[in-house]
Amino acid sequence: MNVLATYNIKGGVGKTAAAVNLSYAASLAGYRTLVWDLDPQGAATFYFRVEPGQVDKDRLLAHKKHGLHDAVRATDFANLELIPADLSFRNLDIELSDGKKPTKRLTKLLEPLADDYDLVFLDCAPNLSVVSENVFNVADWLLVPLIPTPLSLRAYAQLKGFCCTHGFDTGKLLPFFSMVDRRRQLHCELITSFASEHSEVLRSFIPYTSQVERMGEQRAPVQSFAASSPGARAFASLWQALAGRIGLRLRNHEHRPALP
Amino acid sequence: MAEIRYPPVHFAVAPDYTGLAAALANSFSTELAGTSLVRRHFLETFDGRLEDAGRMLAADQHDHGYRLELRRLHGEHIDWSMECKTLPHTANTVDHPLLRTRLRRLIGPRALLSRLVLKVEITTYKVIGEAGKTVAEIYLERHTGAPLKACGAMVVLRMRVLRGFASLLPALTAVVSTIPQLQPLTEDFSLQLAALAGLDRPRYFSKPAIVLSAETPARTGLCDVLNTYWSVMRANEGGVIDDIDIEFLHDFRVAMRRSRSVFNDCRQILPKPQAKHLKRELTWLNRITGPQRDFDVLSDQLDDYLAQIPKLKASISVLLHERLETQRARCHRQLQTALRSERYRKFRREWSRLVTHASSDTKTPIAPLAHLVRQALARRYRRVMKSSWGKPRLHDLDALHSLRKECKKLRYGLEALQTLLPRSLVKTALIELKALQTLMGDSWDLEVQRGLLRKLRALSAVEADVRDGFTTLLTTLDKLLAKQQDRILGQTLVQLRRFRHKRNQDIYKKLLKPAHHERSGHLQHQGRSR
Repeated sequence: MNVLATYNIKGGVGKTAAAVNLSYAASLAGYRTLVWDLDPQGAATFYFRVEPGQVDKDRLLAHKKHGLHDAVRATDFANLELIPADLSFRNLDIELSDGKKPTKRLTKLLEPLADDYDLVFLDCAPNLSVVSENVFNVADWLLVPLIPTPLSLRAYAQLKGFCCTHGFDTGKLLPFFSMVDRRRQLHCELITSFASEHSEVLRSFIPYTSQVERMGEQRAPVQSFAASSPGARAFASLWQALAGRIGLRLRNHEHRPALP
Repeated sequence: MAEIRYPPVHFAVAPDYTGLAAALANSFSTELAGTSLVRRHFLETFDGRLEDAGRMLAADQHDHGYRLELRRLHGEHIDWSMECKTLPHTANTVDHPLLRTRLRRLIGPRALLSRLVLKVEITTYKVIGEAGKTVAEIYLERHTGAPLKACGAMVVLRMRVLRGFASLLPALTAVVSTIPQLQPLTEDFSLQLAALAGLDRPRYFSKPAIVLSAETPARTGLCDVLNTYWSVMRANEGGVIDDIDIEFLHDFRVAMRRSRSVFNDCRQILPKPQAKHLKRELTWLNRITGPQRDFDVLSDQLDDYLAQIPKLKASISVLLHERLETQRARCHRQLQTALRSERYRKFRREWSRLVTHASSDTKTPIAPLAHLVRQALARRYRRVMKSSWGKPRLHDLDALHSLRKECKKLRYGLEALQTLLPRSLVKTALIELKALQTLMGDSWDLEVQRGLLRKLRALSAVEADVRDGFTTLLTTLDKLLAKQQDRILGQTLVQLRRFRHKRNQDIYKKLLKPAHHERSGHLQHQGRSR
């Protein structure tokens, strides 16, 4: 089981859109995929049309073995399931801090799912907290969406600095650009300069398109309702770049029929 | 693979279900998700172990492979559902470790055979809940195919709620139940399909119950016993020849050895020339089936042994498996030839005649069966006690093997004829005997396996680049097996003491002491024959 987290200290950079669309692409490629929505806003939960407030958080944290199994909800797509979030997740920090080894509790919680899924996507909230440290510990890869603006790039530098000072492996960081507007000179310049300094950046990027914004209206991954749109193609390309980087063998790309 | 914990709901649908789609659409907010055509294999072991365990295993063959579904019968819930590339032939060939373990627990090492193969046209409807989310799926499955020729087709409606939405199931079921064309299935549809296809429930037991009474004429009783084992041998014969599963040969050999043991114990009541000839043939059968079984046991346990060797190179272990498989295949070809030979056909005819017709011979006067049985078993017991007398020479493996064979014969005799003896005493007597025999069996198996590995080393011409690794592996394995053997031999010594304990001897004394009426009956019989 590979754990991938979409994370950035800064908000509004496209973490949820990336988690939803990449997980959908993974499920299309035949990987048994789970999305765990760790953001109290529950945006990924909303995108997958699952009602928030269905998960008993206390049970989830108390029962390592069955807690997560019971929390899983099927999405409308084959091979893709979700652990929904709601506003009660805002206190997750406090509750994780209560137990022993507070920064490794997510790792323990995910252990029983190892046989059930090939990929787990963690959609994280934009902050730097105990939950974040748990994510840094459990994730094999941290996908960091960056808007090509100075503030966003500064946030990446802060994140890298935090990882260095706290002993987290910076080799896990996989930044990629999102919400790119190639008409803007600043975007182009920043992408070029950042890519020349950071070899870890993924070479595919997500353009700023209306179809990605429409995900909120359609409540589905962009590839499912506008498969040939530039946004959908960009996420497909990002998935291939990601799979290549993390060494996933690409399976059949055809959609498997969901049989009983 | 996903563990599915929701209960699917099944309904039988009238074959002419025109309008059902409209009825469903009126009942829920539904959406046609598509149709697909699959070949559905209903898998089962030849002795119906899955059905005995209340499970059904189906594999739907689609364009990309198979979707396996292990489900409880009678629609309680699906255990597991997973994709796989090829149809599994045994539990060991299932890709996923959890399903593999679960299946192993249910069917052991038995082969999975396609009991029934049907074409299934599946129409899928999605049930849409709040916020446009799919909450359940309805599958309309039309089963057709040659086995169902007589009845045409069977249509089943299966409904399952998606994971996390089980609370909606009662409401959805209540709505579906009101559709007039649907009838809840009283029996699992897989069983109904098997019945429609004219398939009987697999009836096979590797250890059939043999009921005898003290009044049974000895020859009739003996023939009943031999006939029962003969049916087990016949049931497994095809599987041995086709090499479907190692268990066929195991059951074949066990039935054959049990027959041999009982036959040898009581052969004085059978026509002499015939008995002598058949005894020779049974020995031949034992000899020709042995080599393949030895390789089967080693191959079956090899992975466990290899797991205990640290830093083992995959290429070396693959090489060992390949070499073993080659040798095993050679043994199988020899066995196949022997079982297709005129000699075996002749044995089959003669044995069949013996077990079915010898009982009708009423000319020769014979003592009551119970008396003969006690005599034979007492003789066996005396031999066992004699072989295990004095300080047991545990490292004289041949002596230990002879003792094991005697124990085996005593056990087979007791098990075959137990209905003629006091039940509770037989049960108690078998406990220590079985434990002893198992330990000695394990030790002998290890000895045989070490012998095979030595033989393999002598036989195999190995490429220079892996020669050292291969030889080292065989040496390490030999040491490992020797260590295990020593441990088992120590346990055997303890068990042997328990078997020879006064308390256990008393049990056998009581068990094998002739009953009063038998003694008098035997005297009367002796008087008559004089």
